[in-house]
Amino acid sequence: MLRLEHVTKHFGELAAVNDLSFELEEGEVFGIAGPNGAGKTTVFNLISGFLHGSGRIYFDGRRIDGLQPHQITHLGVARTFQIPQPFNSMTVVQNLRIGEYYGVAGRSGPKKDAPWNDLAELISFVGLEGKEARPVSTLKLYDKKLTVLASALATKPRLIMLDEALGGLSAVEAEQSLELLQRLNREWGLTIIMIEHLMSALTRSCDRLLILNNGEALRIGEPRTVVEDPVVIECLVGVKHA
Amino acid sequence: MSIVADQGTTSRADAGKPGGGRLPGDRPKALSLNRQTGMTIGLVVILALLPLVVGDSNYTMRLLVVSMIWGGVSLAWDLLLGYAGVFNLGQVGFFALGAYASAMLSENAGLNPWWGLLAGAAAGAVVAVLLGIPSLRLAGIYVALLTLAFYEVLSPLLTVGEAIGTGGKRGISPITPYTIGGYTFTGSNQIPWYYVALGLFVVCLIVCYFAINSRFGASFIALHDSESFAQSLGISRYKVSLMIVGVSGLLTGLMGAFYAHYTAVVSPRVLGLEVFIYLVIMVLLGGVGKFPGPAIGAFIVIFLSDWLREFENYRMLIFGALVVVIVMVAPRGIMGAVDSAQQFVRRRRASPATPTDVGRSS
Ligand SMILES: Nc1ncnc2c1ncn2[C@@H]1O[C@H](COP(=O)(O)OP(=O)(O)O)[C@@H](O)[C@H]1O
Ligand SMILES: [Mg+2]
Repeated sequence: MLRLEHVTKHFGELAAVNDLSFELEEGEVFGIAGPNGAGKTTVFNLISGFLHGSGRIYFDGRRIDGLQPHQITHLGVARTFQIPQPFNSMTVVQNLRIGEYYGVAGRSGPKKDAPWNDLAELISFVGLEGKEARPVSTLKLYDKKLTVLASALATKPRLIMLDEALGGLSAVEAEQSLELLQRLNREWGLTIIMIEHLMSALTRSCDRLLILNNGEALRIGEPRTVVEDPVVIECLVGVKHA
Repeated sequence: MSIVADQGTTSRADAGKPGGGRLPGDRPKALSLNRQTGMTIGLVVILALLPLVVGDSNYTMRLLVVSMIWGGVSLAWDLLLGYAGVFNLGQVGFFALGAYASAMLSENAGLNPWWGLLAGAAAGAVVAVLLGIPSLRLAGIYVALLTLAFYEVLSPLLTVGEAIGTGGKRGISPITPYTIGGYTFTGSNQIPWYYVALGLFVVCLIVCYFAINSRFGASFIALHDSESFAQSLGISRYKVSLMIVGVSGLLTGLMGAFYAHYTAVVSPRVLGLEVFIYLVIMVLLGGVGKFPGPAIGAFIVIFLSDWLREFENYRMLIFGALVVVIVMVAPRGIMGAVDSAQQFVRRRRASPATPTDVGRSS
């Protein structure tokens, strides 16, 4: 479904992403972990068209590196941001409407039907009922994250990329979010890439796990095997002590 | 049976509109009665009736016509500044282009001044879009720089452009007035001018109102609020900005065209700093991004400026001080102050038991 070939991105001297290649199967949940500054967010920015580097990126066999963010959204790739920045002058529903209106608009090829029929269904699926009319600026972080996620889902994506969806949440909220993501994958058949620091969450929900370090793929494979790899342990623990 | 079938097709065709119907928190329907709509309609009604009261005073009528001209321009500029977040510093340039386009076509090519309105609007829109094409892909600061450069070079260009009929430093004067069925507009009867100005002002109000309260409007408000998020939801920043810049340029050029024939003179003086500063104050005073505030700001500034006329050179000083005061005391302008007052009253009504609360908490 998604394929990266020798993707590299330099910021000046720094190789934030270095010769990264991997391929994603439809329906997969793919985790990305690594120390801060490893290049995880940069990978998302490259795939979603916010940054352009070298190498090739394919979605459904079509080359997408070089496209603009909105064009990539129209192909069916949605994303969230590490720090949620919703439309603060709007209500929850108005945020979602933007995704609904513009995510599908101009999409080439046959329009993909979403698993939900109207926004009300989507809202209750993510658990925002009763907060539709709230100005987003008055929401707490968890609900902001849900609003941002639901807006991304409103674009009717087939692949969604989540940048630290659980970050900053309480244990209970993180648990709820994780369940929601699993339902997105199982019930709605969405392919997911998730950047996460919480290893237990990754091993529980991912089919495969990529460990990034200094922009390079340190390990990629079955999550439990990967997290028990001494090289990975050293990489992740080493940072905690740094 | 047929009802069921109908429902099926509507839900598909309406996919773009509120999917399965309206939800709480949806954008109010256009023209639904809220403060914005009420103030807009109120403003138009008052202006339509005002000549009954002040129609005898050509002087007051003149001030009102000028207010409506700049009110339209303020609204068009605020569409960019307050709503789309496009930092265009060349708005007065679009105005001058509209004025020159109409004046030059009517004086040099004999075009009917009415058609000049279209020409002025077209000139404003085309040049705005031409400036937008190279700059809007870049960061906001480049838009500001490019439009400022455009504004700065326009005056010298018009001065040296005598060969193409700009009239050089002195500009073009006199300029043919409008005629309707044999009647020619004159300075001594302001009523016809007034109602044409009102018509154009209403065009500005309507276009801006629907630009803001539409799906299109939601997209540029979204970009303004959170650009990356908006793009990630499928909005093309470039396309949206270019469209809104075009609309703003169009309205501004339109008002410029009318201005030329109304004042019967255009010269590079319209590009002077004073006009620019007035426009800034109108938008600031009315409330940036607070439709229709900037239009109201225009009326206040024009009348205030006339009232302060006797202070001559100190006038700009007073206006400068006014800017500082607005920014410090009411950064969101008159409309922002109205917002706060409304919220205050609402809170008062919601909790009439405030004294007891205080007692309890202490
Ligand atoms: N826009 C940018 N300009 C310059 N350097 C950047 C930019 N974005 C990220 N970086 C650098 O690239 C590296 C990787 O960043 P990032 O992808 O955000 O890491 P992660 O998400 O894994 O924490 C960091 O060293 C960061 O400072
Ligand atoms: Mg990151």
